[in-house]
Amino acid sequence: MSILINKNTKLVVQGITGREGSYHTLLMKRYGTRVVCGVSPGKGGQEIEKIPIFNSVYEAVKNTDANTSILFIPPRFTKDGILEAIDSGIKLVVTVAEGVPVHDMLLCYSYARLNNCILIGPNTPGIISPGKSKVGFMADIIYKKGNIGIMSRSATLSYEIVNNLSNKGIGQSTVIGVGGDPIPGSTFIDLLPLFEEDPETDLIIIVGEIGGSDEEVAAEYIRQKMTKPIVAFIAGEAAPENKTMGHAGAIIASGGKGGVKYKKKVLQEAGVHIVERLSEIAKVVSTILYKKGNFRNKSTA
Amino acid sequence: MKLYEYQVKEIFFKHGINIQQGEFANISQEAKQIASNIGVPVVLKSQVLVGGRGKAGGVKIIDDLNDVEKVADEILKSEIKGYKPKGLLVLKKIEIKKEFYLSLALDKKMKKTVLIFSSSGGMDIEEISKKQPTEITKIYIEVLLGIQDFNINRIISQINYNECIKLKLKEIIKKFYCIYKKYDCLIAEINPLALTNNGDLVALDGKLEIDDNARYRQDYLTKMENEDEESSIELIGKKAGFVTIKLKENISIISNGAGLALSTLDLLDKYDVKVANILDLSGGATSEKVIRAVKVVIQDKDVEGILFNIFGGITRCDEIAQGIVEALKYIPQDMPIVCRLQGTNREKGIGILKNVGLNAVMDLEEAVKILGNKKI
Repeated sequence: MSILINKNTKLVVQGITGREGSYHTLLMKRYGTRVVCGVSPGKGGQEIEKIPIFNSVYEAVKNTDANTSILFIPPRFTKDGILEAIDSGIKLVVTVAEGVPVHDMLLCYSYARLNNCILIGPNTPGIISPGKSKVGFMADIIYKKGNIGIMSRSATLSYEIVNNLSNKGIGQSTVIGVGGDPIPGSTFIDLLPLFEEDPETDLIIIVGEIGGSDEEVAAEYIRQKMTKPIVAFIAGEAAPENKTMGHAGAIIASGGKGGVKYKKKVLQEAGVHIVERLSEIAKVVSTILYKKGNFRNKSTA
Repeated sequence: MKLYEYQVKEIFFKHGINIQQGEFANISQEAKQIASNIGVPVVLKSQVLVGGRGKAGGVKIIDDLNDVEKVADEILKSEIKGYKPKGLLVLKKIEIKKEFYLSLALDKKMKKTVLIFSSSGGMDIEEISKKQPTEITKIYIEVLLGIQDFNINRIISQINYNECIKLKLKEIIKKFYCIYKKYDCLIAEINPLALTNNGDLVALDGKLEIDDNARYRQDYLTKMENEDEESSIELIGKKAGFVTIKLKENISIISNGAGLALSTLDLLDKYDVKVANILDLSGGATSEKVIRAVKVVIQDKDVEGILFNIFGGITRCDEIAQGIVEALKYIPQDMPIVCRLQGTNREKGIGILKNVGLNAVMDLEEAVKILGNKKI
């Protein structure tokens, strides 16, 4: 199982002829992802390592039944790329570019919801279900197949945590970068129900950071709906307080607070195990799994 | 990027939102000339990007034309919260009947634009929102629909003025939403929006904060380089292409990823190692980028030591290490440097660093301990 991506994923790479696009297409294919085609306007009819290239996502879907898309295209073209993918019927879109204009993302966010499309990113390393499939650019060598679901706002922090877990023999079911831009297509609350339903996930790790209120929103959902154990690491407690963004910003923030201490408090109240140091995560996770009796990984370091 | 009031008002004027008669002045003589053209009484307003300008003495009402030059000179020379004014606005004072508050902003929680209106503007809106939350109307706007009449009707039904004024307010809200979209604003605010004795609605003050990621399509803005209220090292970092955060103490953290940088800061805090600044190399860091980053952080005079914390995914540790070695010529010789390299090509990277005698380890806590022991 795992969530979002699996053996049935048929991936189209938008921007497949670019430097990053072509490089990571091959890495994804090598990892086992079914890359069915790529899109690069004006280069339709060509091939990269026997992967056919189309001029538009519409043609790509018509010819290959692609159901998932990843965009390796610059931020200024991201809006059009996302909208095109959604409009062509793609139901999972991953966009890696960092720094997409906020007004573009507001539009993409809304259009994705309207069409029941799951949008991941921007500014994400992507999604990986270790041993099955990856739709992204993460260094897959550190991942290990297992029963931990991870969602992270930060790419490098998720690498750090995965590395810690894998070194201790604790594998992952699916690891998702929700992305670090102001308007992520999906946040923790969108992905929690998927992990809750996934039979291969026994424990969920939330990697959050200072700012925004996605952790607070997740805490409320966890309190009401989640039964699986959840561990959270929140970065930025020692960071200076957010610079005020003007009056309007302050009013919006007053409901969500956004500080690390507050995030930890509400998550803890919702039954989440808070980890203070990255180096402690593996220990906390294995203790919880052991108590629950679903410590599936045999090799423990 | 934040815009100065005079820049905001140019945009308002261009889009048909009423502003007071007046002009921007660089020097006091200009201010006097403008005042004599428009006639006293005038309001002189210091042009700075920080809030609380009025309380800090940056806004003065002048009745006598002979006083304008002297007061303008004082304003131009006075720093507001440490920031030198860019100039001043000389405006015709108008008679006000009522003040409103109007803003459009990105609500990150709802992932939508929120329109905020209050019939008690002018004063501190944060205070109103706490003390009289019922005085504030918040309306979420569906981006696919844009602002519709039914949205605005919810606002104008709240004010007890004649239809003519209601219609004017409706028009202003529509124009204001156009500006917010057209200029890629994160926040747009008119406070106060004044109802004059003549029944006109005039924007007495305004704020626009532009999304830096959209600057490439804001031709109008490329000519302006507004130095926000950022500290200079943050600005130097921004110009070099990095997100840099200034803190008060003496260690610089260079890391690849905002989350990793923040968690490094947290960990240093637990070991009581204090930080001068944090710099995020972000994804795909190369050796050239590392050198550029080092050149930024050492311009911060508080820096007495550097911690590199790198987790290589796409980023290759050997390339980072090469960059650190090349950057050594920019770092004072006695300045302690500790490097933590993990992930892609870490052994190779650590080898390169150890060859030149640098402290290089794979474990973050170990790196922090080494730094702590140096007792900077």
